[in-house]
Amino acid sequence: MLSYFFLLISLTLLSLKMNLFFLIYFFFFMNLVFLTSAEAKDFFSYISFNMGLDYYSFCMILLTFWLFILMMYGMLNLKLLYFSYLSMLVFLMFFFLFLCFVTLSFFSFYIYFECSILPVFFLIYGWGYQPERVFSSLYFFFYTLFSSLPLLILIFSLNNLLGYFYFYIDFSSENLFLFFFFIFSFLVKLPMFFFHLWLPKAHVEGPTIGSMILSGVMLKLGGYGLIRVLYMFTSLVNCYSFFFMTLSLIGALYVGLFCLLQSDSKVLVAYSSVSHMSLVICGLMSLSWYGFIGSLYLMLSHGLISSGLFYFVGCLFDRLGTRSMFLMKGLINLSPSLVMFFFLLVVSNMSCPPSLNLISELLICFSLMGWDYLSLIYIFFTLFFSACAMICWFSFVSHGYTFGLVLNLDSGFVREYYLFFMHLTPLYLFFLNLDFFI
Amino acid sequence: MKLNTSKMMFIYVIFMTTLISLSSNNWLTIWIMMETGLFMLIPLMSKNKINDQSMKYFIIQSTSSYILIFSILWNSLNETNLNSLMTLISLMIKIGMPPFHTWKPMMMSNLGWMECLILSTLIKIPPMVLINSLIDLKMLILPLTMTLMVGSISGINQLNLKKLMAYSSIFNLTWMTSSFLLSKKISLTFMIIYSMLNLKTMFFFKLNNLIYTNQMMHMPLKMKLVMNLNLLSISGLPPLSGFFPKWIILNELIKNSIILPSIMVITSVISMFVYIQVNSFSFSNFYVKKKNNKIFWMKNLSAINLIILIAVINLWVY
Repeated sequence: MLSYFFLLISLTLLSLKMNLFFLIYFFFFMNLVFLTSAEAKDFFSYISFNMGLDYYSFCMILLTFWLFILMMYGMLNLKLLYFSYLSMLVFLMFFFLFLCFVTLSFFSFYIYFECSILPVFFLIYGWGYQPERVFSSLYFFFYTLFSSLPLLILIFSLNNLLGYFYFYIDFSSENLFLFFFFIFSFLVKLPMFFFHLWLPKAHVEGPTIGSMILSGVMLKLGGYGLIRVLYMFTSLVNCYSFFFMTLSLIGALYVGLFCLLQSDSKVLVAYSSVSHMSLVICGLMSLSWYGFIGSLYLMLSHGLISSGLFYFVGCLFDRLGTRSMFLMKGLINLSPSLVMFFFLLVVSNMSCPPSLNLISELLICFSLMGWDYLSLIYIFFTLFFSACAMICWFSFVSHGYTFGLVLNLDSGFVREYYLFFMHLTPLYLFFLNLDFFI
Repeated sequence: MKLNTSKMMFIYVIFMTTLISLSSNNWLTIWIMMETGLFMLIPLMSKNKINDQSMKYFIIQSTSSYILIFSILWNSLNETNLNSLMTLISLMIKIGMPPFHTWKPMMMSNLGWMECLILSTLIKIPPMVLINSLIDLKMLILPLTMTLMVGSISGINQLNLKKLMAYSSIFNLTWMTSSFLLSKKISLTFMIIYSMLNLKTMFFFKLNNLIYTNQMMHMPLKMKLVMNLNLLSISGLPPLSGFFPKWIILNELIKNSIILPSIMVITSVISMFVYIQVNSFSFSNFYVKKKNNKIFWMKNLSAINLIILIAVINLWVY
């Protein structure tokens, strides 16, 4: 862990000057070394320098590595727009996210959690498209900051009370306020229904890579935090989980319906990620093994898929200059291979059989069945409506009367196909090795 | 400020007064040092054509000094609670802590940037030493809370950068006071980092001749970015080095009371909004330029330093 840390620090300094492709090769190399040297264990291993790995953090770090490599390819179209600053911001984001997933103490986790907000804020603020980005980046920034500040105070006071405050410390609490404020910042980050308002705004105004990383990794910080925190409040979760579960079930249903009404495709992907993330909350709040594993799988698969979908929307936006579903039409006539990848992405977002999404949703359904049978009705309608929205979106974009705007379309770069392919392969190959953790 | 020998002398004497007051053991010496500092600052202030503000400053400061010396004398006769309240009020007037803060933004908007810097860092130290030796935290919670509220909220609609920095120094008074109440090491850490950041920001403003926020519109991106990071660092956002002393203060302060740290943290969100609002003028004009922007990376190390420092320190400490 220590060597990784120093490598990353040296790279952060160099990332302003370094060639991007060299950086990407370096990431690949680090990813390879990480994969071969570390392995997922039940409890924290490879502990050094206040950092360690267990299988949650291992999976999250793999996801982060993977998405950042893809993101660096994805940001090549911003090459002329203060690119060295952009690569430095991206690298800082990676650095903080990596440290966030790898640290063992709550305070360091909180610090890196907060640190990762600032680069995303600058990314939306500086590289967004429209003047509204100022408002929406402020909205994002202060929403997340305000929700996480009570956590800081709680961590300080518990640190003071217990002497030291690391993950899996032997501490349990019956205090409702402690419980609520501990998970509040993670619920906002995930977003739970009612706290999700910052998400569509930030996605709409942000650049493509900004929303890729926001939905790919930043949302998963909330789920990761919940995994780390919930064991301290088991009795309280048993008493009060119904509140969060019902809220996120109904919210997922409502948001799934809301997806059907959207005309902006980025907002649609953002809302569908809200509905998927509420399934993560349900899985985690059920406190069962199935729920935890399902949530972890769903976070991985949803990270890949939503990032791929956002990249697709970004590709179309670069060519057509619009994200509206009423203007992008008849894509299949001009570029069938692009549409094929789009179809694969859409279909795995609505969890069709060979993808990891299906497995994770099944696992979450099992855990919810153990919690209460009636919740399955909501789950059924949620999945159905989000699938409807996805299919509707697909048919709007690819079929129909060819609009004049489509004439601006070329059939796509190799880089883009590479990116779609790399988003999809881990998702479909993971299916073959599902006993990864058992 | 021109390299004027008399002005050099004034500045040196101000430095000396703060150092002496940090190391003195009796009240009268600190009082004398405060007075000396006041009289050294007045000629620095009145270098402009307008001599109004030096007179105002003199009246306010001398009033508070007389209240202070009166309360010191009374205190030497018999100690009561009313005495320390009076001392507190006189010190509050002296450092411009709400509800006696209204002179400060008015004063600072008429000064040059370097005088603003001296007013917001150096001059505050002797009163802080007195607060440290006399008054305990419980008595200060109400004024400190009020300071936080006033300093953060009233900065919201400021277009004048000097007034904005005045309100930010009012906001940071709480952190400074609580750091002085906690321990000497913490106060040193806070003062060093805070005054460094303030120095960098105000020097930047001075070099670019900035008085209003909309003047930043046409600066190059690198300067905007450095300045934005500086301002956010003063407000104490986590990846930046300004967070470091605030973290230490919060960590120690939470052992004494839970109300004050939570209010500090919540109002710091508002102050962060204020600083970002300064940026929003400069960044919203950042449109798509289709030309290659070459950036010399060695010169950007200052911005990186700011971010990396805290991470490194955090890892070594925890």
